[in-house]
Amino acid sequence: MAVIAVYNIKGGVGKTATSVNLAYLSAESGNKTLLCDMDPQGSASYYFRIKAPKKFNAGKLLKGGKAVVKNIRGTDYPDLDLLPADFTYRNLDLALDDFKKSTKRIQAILKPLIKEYDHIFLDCPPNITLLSENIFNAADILLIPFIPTTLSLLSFQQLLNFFKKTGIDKKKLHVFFSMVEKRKKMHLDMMARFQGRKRVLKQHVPFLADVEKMGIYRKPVLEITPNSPAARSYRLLWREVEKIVTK
Amino acid sequence: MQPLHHIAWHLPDALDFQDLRLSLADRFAYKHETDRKRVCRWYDTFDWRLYRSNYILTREGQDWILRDLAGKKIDMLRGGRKIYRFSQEFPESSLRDRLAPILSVRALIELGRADIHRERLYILNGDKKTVAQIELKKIVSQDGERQSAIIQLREIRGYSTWMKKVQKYLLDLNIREKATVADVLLFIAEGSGRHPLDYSSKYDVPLDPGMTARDAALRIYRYLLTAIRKNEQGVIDDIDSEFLHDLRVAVRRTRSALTLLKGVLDPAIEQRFKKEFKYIGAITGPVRDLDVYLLSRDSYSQYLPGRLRRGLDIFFDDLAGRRRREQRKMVRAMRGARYRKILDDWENILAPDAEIMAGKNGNIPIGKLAGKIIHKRFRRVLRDGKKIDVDTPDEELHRLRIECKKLRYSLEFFSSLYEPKQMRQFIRQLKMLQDNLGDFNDLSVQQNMLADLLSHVRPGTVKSRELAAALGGLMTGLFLRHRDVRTRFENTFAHFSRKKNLALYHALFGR
Repeated sequence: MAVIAVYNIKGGVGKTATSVNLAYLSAESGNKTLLCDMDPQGSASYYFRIKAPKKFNAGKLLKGGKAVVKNIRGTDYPDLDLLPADFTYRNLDLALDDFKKSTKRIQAILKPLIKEYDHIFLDCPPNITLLSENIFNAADILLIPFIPTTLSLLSFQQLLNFFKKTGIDKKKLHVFFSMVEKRKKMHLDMMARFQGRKRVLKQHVPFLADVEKMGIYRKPVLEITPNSPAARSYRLLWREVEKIVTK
Repeated sequence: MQPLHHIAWHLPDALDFQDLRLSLADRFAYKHETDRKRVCRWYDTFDWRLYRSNYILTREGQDWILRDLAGKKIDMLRGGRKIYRFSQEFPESSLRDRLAPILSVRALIELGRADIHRERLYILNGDKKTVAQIELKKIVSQDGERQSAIIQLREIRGYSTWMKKVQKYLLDLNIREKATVADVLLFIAEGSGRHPLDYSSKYDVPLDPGMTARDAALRIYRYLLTAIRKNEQGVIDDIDSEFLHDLRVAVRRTRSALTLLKGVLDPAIEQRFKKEFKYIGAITGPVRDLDVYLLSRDSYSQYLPGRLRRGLDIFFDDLAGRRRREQRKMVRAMRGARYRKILDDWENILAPDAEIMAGKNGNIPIGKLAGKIIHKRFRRVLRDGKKIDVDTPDEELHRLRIECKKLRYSLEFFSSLYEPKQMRQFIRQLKMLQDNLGDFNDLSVQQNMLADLLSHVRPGTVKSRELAAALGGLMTGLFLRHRDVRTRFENTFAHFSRKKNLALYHALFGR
């Protein structure tokens, strides 16, 4: 059992694609899996054709318990459920103020769900806020998609500093390269610098049009083109993450 | 979290899959999928251990699937080998861990197989999101003669209103006869002439105190003969050790009944069959003795330090070889004329229209005779048991064990005539005594066997040295346990013959 948060301070690094496809693979290998869409844009929910129920909002999420369970939806795939995001999630930080700026609220909300599911994935919004800190506390594993550029490196450094400051265990961090373009020298150089380091996964996910097709078909890549290079790289990535999870 | 609804109905004969699809299309948008035809096999032990534990095990293609009787998938093993007979043959998996305590020493047997034609309809909402799932399943026996069609409706979490909508629509189509996985099992088992729970190794023959001893005896003998017959094929095919065990228990019970119920049937018949069943006991004995050793292989190796265990493997491999030879011999005997004739003659004698003559006790009501028999056995056990002290030779304990067994059988034969709760209590008390005596006897027999084996080990090779060392180690272990069991006898017997238990006996049998 593990809570796996897919996170990066930066947007557009492939967080949602990673969450959706890894959650799909987790369920496919027989784990009861829940994907929580924490991003007010609700892209993960969109990929699964699930709309947040009208009565669901950030307040309900933070209330936890039945208010959350009632809004979990089954996806089209066996053993994979989703907690859809609502647009009011954009105010989750403000709403957390009502909980005395708690950094453990999300953890408390997930606690009863941990009994029901083998794995829980959190698709996180970009930024580094009180909500992020909540997520860092709740997660057993923080999976960071990382585009191999200098800017990414900078944001990663910021994250490490934040972990140090807040005293959150940095062993939770696991980085993998995302949206890799092999023809770009900078990508290759950057990857070469990091390859083999602790907590840097071996498998990377290339920048591929197949991943973008998810928006058209509204399905995980593994359903659209199960034998494509994109699907294959997610499979290998999941195998690596699964090893960390079961350790 | 609420469990998801999952309902199954029998599809009325008048409605085929296509009709149903067309009809649903009037009201719902759906995506349709047809699976490839799959062969499905159903498994359980001969005595329905999985079914009794509320499970059904199937193999569909390469997948082993365990479901509960409501049809919920409990566990699954993907891409297993084709055949696993015993739980320990399964690869390490949660399925194996689940099966092991239930199957224990029993083997899985195929109950039947059928072709499964499956279609799925995914009911879609405006976003083309699946909001309910329908599975249509046609199960066709492999001879193509019989078939059964089932429709299953599955709820998708968070879309219960859709589930209700579809359910109502199906009801309007006159789909209302609920189906369970157990119905399918019934359908499958029927093909091989079986029926769930049609066999149990537990003895259960209800008697009525007013019936004559002759009628009661016939009922008991018939039941036991059926048990022998049901286990024969499994013994011959050597499916697992329990077929032979159950067959031998039925034989022993028959012999015991012939002695206990002496004079109830024609004495000539009683005399003859006492001898005949002794013969069946004798031809099946050696294999069972070897089974007992082989089944305790794991516990034996626990008694030995690691470095002596290699010799143990030599010992058990040798036993396994001997068992193969004895099994062949036994099968020859069971296919032989004498064995066949014994059981055929016995069957004819017991046939309802045979009008077999009653002996001198045959017309006494069984309620009256049973009390006498039990009392006689009980007095013997008390008398012999009280005579035993620390210095009594082992043979006396062995004799007491036999007396206890007779008492136990008489209690079992007639238990339906007495108050059930007290009867169970009394049998439990007796069982404690029997366990002590049984352990004592097993340990003597095993020590003798090992001593005999040791005297035949030819010195000189590494192998024989390892074997001898292992045997020595085992004998020491057995000796210590044997002594321990013996010292516990006095207490166990005192416990059995204590006032409270005698009072229980008097309350039960009024003597």
